[in-house]
Amino acid sequence: MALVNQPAGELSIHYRDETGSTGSTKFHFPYATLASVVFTQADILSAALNAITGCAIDGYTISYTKTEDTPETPADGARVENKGKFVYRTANARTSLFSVPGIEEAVLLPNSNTIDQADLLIVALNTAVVGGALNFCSADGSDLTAILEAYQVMAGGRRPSTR
Amino acid sequence: MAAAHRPAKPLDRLLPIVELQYVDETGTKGATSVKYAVDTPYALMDAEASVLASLIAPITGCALVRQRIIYKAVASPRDVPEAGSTIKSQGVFFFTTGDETPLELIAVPGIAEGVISDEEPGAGVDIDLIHTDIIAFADAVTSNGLTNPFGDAITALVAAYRQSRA
Repeated sequence: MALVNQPAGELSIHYRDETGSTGSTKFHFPYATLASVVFTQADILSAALNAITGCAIDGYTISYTKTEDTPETPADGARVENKGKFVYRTANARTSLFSVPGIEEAVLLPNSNTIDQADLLIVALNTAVVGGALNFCSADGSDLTAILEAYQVMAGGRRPSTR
Repeated sequence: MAAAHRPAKPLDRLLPIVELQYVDETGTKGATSVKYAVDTPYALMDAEASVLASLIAPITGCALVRQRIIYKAVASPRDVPEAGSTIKSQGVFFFTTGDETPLELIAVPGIAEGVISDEEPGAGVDIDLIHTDIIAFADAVTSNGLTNPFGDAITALVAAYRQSRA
């Protein structure tokens, strides 16, 4: 069981026409290409495309994808809509959150939708988030400094394609 | 719609994203997404994605199926599309990756009228492969290490035409 990268990363350049409809052009690059190099390539390609399209170029997305070669079997009754929401205070006195699909009932306080922050598994997650092992940030780039609250909600997921 | 020579708008980089996608018992997918500081290297985010996934694994009943690391840039301010431009009018470019590997097809929405050939038999459909802007585009594709989805290097533009995807 391992996450295996695709042979190539993907660069999508996004367009908008006069009516507001949107489209994209997809390019591929060797997976090992540094993002800084792909940014340079994307700027060159955007400039070249700008000369041959009447649409406006709104931006681009560079993505590196890995897929699980032998995914585990989800637990009976697991639902992605059953999310754990983790809300953190940030260094600039705002808040930021991330969610965990299919949060286990075992980490909730009894008869509650509150996640037990004293649970060892939750402590480990929080320690990594605020202790420096994980360096992700809020939407405005501020550091996450302390957990504010954590709770379970039922929220939408994406249904599998039937095609 | 004339061939555009508008100056390219500057693009602002957004915070990159690590996305861990999970599937539940019904096949429905959901994700955990977190943002990183602009210009965070892939290697750091890739390593931390593994740490995050290992911490999430015991607290979710769902199975991890995919990891994506995403960088974005947006035009600021946004450009104005030309009058009459439509994404349905696509330029389709066929690039070779060698004799024994698949072609790479690159579609360009809203292809400019000015790069369409007016010479028969392909007038109005064929893209003029010796048009200065098409040569520049083909050079940008072939000289920047791009590949098809299988990682085969693109070497040359072989054909291009306009198609409507109405």
